[in-house]
Amino acid sequence: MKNNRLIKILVLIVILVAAALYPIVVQRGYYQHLAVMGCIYTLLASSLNLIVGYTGQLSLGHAAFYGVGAYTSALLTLRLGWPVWAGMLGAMVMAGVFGVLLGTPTLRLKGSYLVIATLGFGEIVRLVLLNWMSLTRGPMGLTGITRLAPWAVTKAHYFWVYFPIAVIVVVLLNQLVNSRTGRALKAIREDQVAAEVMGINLAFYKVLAFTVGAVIAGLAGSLYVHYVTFVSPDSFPVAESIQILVMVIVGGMGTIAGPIIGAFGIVFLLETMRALAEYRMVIYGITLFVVIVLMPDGFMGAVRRVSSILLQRGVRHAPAGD
Amino acid sequence: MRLLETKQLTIRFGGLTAVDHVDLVVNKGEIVGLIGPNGSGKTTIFNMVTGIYTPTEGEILFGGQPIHGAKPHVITERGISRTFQNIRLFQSLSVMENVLIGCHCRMKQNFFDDLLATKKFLHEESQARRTAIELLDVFGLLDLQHETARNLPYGLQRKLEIVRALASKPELLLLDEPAAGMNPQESLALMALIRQVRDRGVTVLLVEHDMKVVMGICERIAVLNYGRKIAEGTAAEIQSNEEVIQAYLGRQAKTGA
Repeated sequence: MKNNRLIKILVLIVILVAAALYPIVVQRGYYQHLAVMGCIYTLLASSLNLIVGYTGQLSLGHAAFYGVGAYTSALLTLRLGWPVWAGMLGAMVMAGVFGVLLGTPTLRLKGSYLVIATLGFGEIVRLVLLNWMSLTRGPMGLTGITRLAPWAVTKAHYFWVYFPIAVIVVVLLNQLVNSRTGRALKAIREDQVAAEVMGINLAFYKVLAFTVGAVIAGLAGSLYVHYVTFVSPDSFPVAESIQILVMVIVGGMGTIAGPIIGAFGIVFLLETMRALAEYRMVIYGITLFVVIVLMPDGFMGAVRRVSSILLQRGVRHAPAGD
Repeated sequence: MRLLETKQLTIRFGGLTAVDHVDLVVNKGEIVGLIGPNGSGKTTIFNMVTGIYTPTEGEILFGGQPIHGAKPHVITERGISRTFQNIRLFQSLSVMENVLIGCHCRMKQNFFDDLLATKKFLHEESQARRTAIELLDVFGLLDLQHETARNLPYGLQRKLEIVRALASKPELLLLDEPAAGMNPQESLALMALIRQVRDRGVTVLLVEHDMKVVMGICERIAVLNYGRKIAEGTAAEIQSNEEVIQAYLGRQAKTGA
């Protein structure tokens, strides 16, 4: 047990050092840009995973929280002159409010009905952003958004800030899913009736999952706008929600590492395939198809299966989620 | 002392009266059986007592306080827990996690304690783990604590469901056909287990079709037919009741089949 923890900490240190060195080793700004986007998508995929993978509530509205966070942070800094860190907090709070707004009315919905409701929610948010001209300037978007900080000039600077933020969020999520709260969410995913009879307040924990997921997505939105310094409703279509969901599924639902692998994997995969020009989306589609057929539980599911075979079906030695 | 009492308990689904003015009393420390043909309303009574259904009419009192209409999680917190006729474990979670989820309503930390791993989180978590280990040990499941629930053999899954229910520290445990699918040896072991549960101070209300189990351990038995209570009494009284024999037991029951 102690040994296990030591190994985990060592692995974490190695990852952190490697990440810190990445922008120095990889000098091309373009690949540094991908790494920054990888961090943002890690936040998005990990937070959606809390809702979909751990609580079992399939949602196609995650881009809405991302958009709400992005616009809140942009407007607070642009119009009210708030400092960037306050904009971030504002984005998280506002996205959290939207999480409650989506989570509460959908309490009674299950399966496909829930999916349709979240889809509708995502569209409503996008259309409001598009049409509320006086606030959002509609399709023209908001330009000249404050940069993260005066000293944040290169993409490497952004990476050195965003990567630790992503790490902190993932560590907190890891703590959360292995606690009383996390077990309650998993119980809801496994069997709602049994969860309720075991003393779990269904309404509270479902809304909690949506809210926490939304807060993190709102943070991602804020990080995004202070990086690209421009925002328009085009960034938050339904396709974006689907993209985030694909990252969660390909990486492995209900695991901590899965969405991270999915986020970085898909960001880099999509970009390295730009050379394929018009064949890009075709190849991307085929790749996703093959990945899902070969690894139905996502990448982490495959890893788990292979390692349990290697351990001679040593089921008892497997770290069973605690 | 009356622990659970239903007064004129009734529920209708459309035109069907599934439970019809049933008065039932369970005293503290008893093992009470609820029997009757399929569809006579036994599980429906369980569902009303645990808050899954709200009764159309009548009252449910637990420790003298009304609980009908309360949410299931509130009722669990009050001290009623149950198992299900068709096992409802958290299949893809470990045995340990299943039992820890049972401890949920007795743990006092809040969301932020969980998120930030505060002292309170550590304390509550180790306390819950101790409870879980103790229970798993008593019921012989401790070696399997890391196993995924779905991988347990049927009999052990039934056992785990009882352990999970006990983890919420109930005063009253409702068992819905615990012997279903068990062979005679397993049923005998189950009877011992239920007595063991009662000796821990937990009152038991039991729905069961296996008459050996019911007659063997229940101090009192209530019989339902078409949603109505047609008899109540000791095993001997029930076995010689003409109406019960007609409706449910049949002639063989007298010889103890």
